[in-house]
Amino acid sequence: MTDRHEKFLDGAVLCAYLALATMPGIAMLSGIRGQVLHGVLPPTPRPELEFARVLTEEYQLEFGAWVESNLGIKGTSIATDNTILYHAFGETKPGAPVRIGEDGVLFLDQDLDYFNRYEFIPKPAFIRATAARIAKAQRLLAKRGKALVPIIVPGKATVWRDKVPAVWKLPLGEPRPTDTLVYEQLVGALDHYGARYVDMRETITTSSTARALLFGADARHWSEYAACLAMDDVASLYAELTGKPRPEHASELEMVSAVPGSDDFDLWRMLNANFVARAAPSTPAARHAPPSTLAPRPTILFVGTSFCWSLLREADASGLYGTLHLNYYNSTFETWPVRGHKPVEPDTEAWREIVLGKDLYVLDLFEVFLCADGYLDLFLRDFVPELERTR
Amino acid sequence: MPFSSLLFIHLFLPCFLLVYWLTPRAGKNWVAIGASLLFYAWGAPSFLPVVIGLGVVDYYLAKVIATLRENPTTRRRAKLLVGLGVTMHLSVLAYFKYSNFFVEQVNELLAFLGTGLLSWTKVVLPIGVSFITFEEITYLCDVYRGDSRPARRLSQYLLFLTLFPHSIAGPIFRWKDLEAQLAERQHSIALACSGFERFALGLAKKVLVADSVGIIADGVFGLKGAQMTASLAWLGAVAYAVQIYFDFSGYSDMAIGLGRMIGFRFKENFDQPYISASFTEFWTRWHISLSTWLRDYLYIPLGGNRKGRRRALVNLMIVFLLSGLWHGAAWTFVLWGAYHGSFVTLERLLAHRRDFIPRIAQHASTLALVVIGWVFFRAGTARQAFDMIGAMLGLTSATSTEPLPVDAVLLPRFAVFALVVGSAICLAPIVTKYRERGPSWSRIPRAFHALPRVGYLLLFTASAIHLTNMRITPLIYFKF
Repeated sequence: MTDRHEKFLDGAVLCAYLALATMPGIAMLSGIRGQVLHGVLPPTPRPELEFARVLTEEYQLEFGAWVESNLGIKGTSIATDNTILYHAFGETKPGAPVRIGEDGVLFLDQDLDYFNRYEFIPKPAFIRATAARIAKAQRLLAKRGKALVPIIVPGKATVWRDKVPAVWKLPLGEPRPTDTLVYEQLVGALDHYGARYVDMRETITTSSTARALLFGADARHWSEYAACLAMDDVASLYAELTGKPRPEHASELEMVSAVPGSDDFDLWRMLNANFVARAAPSTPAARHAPPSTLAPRPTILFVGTSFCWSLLREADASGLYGTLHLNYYNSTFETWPVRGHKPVEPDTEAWREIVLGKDLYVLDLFEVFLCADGYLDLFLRDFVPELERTR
Repeated sequence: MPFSSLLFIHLFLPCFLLVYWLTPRAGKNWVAIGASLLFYAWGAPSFLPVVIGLGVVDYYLAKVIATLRENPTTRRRAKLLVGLGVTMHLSVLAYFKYSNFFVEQVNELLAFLGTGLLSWTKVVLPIGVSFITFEEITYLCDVYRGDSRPARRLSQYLLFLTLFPHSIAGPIFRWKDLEAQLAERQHSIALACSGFERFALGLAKKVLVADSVGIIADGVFGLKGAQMTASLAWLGAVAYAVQIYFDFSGYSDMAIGLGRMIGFRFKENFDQPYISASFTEFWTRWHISLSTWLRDYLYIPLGGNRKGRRRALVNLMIVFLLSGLWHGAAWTFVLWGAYHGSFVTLERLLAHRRDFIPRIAQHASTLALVVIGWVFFRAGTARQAFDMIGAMLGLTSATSTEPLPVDAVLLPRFAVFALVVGSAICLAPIVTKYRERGPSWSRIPRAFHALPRVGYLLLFTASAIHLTNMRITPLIYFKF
């Protein structure tokens, strides 16, 4: 190589570095964000320049956060890095919400935390009080010809516990502390107070149907089909508690190739990595019979977590129900299928209008999030006194 | 704004370089000053006036000192002015860096005595204060000693102090090292290119190795003393040893690379410290700019070797204790300094009596002891450090029946890979340490000389991509 070649090479390499350094900035100005990412926070807004906030360094921090979240081709960079980590090391980045288990089964970190929990477990007194409130609400509503049906919803690591990798498994033995101190306590307390409930943990873990069809290996939530089974059990209890006709859900499996709509919570999508095959290329869903002539169609308020989305979809698709609302984490009211939402503000007319007028109340008792001052606790603390007051 | 941040790499640096390169030679220093002040103000806006103010005072003080020292009758006044200048800088350092620590100690004593506590609003430590203060002291002392001429232009001196590649975490420069370059320096595409390559290497050290290995170290150092087993303690300490080396030497590489991009040639700050066969050698290879500074501006003025063997040993201990304290206002750093000082002193005492120890044993023992020493540096408290070292030496064992947190024992594969690669890079040069360096590179056909350059480009790309996906972590040495 001659000196002239060396000089040319220097120039070319320098240009390459400058291109690499400037590309994200130029792409940011051009609005090119690169590959679409799932399950991420929306980009941070650009901060206002204020001298006082510069002195306290708040502006610099916000500006840095703005650049980081709006940097051009960020999506492509992240997906590339995740792809390398996934394929070369078989893992996700440290701190990522999605963790890779045995045989490619995906877990959300919250579910693994629950699986490994041995302290900060809900106290027995809290679980008993919750069960007592549920039983009381059930009785009060039954007297009005309405029903409240709690569903025990299992966490992913409960259903797929054999696929939790050894490094992620604390040596707590089997059953896990959460099995005995949360699930068994809850079931025992509900039975003790005479509350009727749907135990989807029992259904999913003991069903003869393939587990992946009830709770996908690469999903955080149960499948549409499991939601159909849950609603079928809810319908039975509705009929039992109110004495009204039973809404008949179909629960026949159909393989559909479309990916379900809950994008942000689908763990496969949240990997944000390329060339990762889906564990199940097709998604099971329920095939519904034409809507029955049941009239009037019961209205429902679901209370709970994102597991309720598939219940809502199922209830809507079945054509068996009237107005559907979701009290999402006792934070917002979502209407279906419009998907408009407004804040949950207890003790207001708007709250009473949505909460008190329903025929059926479905409580999602997601074991992972069962805790004092959690969504369920807060809802029951407002709901039960209101029922008593208006009895 | 760490060098390993997206804001720096993708916004500040390209904008600065384009403006700097397009500016005519006469204006380049002003562009560098403007960018350096902006860079510093970004991280410590309220301290910027202090830095500039002290710089202006230094500039004029040095001129007076230089004039007074020329005349034997006024030389004493020059010495007095140097003393005043050094006291001023040390006072600034003491206030910003040590006042919180001092008040905490006093309050602990007062609490012990059962009297009322001192009320105190905590002082925020401005970034780079330790480095800037040392450079200012160096300048005044060098001018007084006649080793340096005072700066001819205030702008040049301010640029020396605030030049962003080194202002916030070193290396510690001396005025005489940069004086000529500040006035006149050569710019070339080849130099800028080699700067980018050095920057890429440093960025990769920091982002791909140090930050990844730091996950393992953080997990282990987050354990309670009763949970610590010997293997975990060694794992944590080794991980931290790799982390801090790659973190700080990576930063120094980035600083050297940035300097080259704008025509500066900075001295090296690291020279494969983990292949040292003694603590004394370690300190000629680790943070070289600090160890030479301590030698020239503390050890020698204290008397060095000139006042007898015993005094030399005392001087060594003083230097290492103060070195520890310089790293941080906490007892753990003092212990770290004392630990290193003890071994350097011991080596001085034993002198050639170590020669009978096989070379491999000298390397292994030094490495193991240095790794143990890092526990003091990383631990939150002296108690934690002693617990961990006790576990490493088998003096204590885990007594807790509590399960270990998953994060402590997780060992992400990428982090383990980084630890293995990092350790290999640290130790591999031992193999060639005692061989004469042959002309091996020149034997390789020139056509293949471009391969490392492709490697640096790939490292830069991989680091930038990985950085986008990770939480940006500040440099460990930022807090000093």
